Amino acid sequence: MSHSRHLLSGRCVRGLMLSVLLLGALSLSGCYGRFGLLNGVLSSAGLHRAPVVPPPGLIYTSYKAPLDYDFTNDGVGTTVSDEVGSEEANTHFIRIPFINLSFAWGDAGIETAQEKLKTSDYADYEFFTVLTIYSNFAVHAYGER
Amino acid sequence: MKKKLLGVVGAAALAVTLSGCLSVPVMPPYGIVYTDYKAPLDFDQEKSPVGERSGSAETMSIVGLVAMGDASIQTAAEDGNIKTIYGADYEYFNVLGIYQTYKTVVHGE
Repeated sequence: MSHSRHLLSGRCVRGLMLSVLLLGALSLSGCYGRFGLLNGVLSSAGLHRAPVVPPPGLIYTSYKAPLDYDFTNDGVGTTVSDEVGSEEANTHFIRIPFINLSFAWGDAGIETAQEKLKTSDYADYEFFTVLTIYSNFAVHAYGER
Repeated sequence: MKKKLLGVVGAAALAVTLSGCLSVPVMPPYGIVYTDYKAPLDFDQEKSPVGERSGSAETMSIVGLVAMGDASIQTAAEDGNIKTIYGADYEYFNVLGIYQTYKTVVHGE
């Protein structure tokens, strides 16, 4: 009886260790964009999803990347502009470590990002995170004012 | 037996960790030890003019722990002094997940 209990607890511990190891590895590898089942878990861990995600860092990440990658429609290319829409289109994320409670808020909608623009031609995004405790995701739309 | 299994799973997890990976619309097969390729970012090609100029912008990641850079369309277009963008590729470089770079390359005129 005590032997079977010992085995059961051993299996539980090993299973837990494997789960933690795999989740940690996937987090570190930046593969979260590919694993649908893990997306929810890892999105709530302060990481993000986007069409283009460069390799991230678990301790510190700060980069800009394309949000839009379709540049030609009916033979007409996308005009590059220096005019950016609203700088206030962003969301914030804060996670309390160990108890794993997280809070996210903000507006990174394209409508907000397009404020002050007459037409929006393309968009980039900016992602910043420190230890996945604090994350910021911002959208920059470019076009004509 | 269980130790071996644990070792295999651990090694696989480590390989995934070290290999690193990115998320893009089009991704050719990549190597765990070494990857260096260019692939399409903009794959919707319909009457697309061919741009003569190119510009690029790059991010880097070290050991999957620290990542930084600017691979935005805006910066890539400014780099190539491009006024009209017709298409885009990306370049991905990875050595054992220790050092990775992602580069956005835009084409236009």
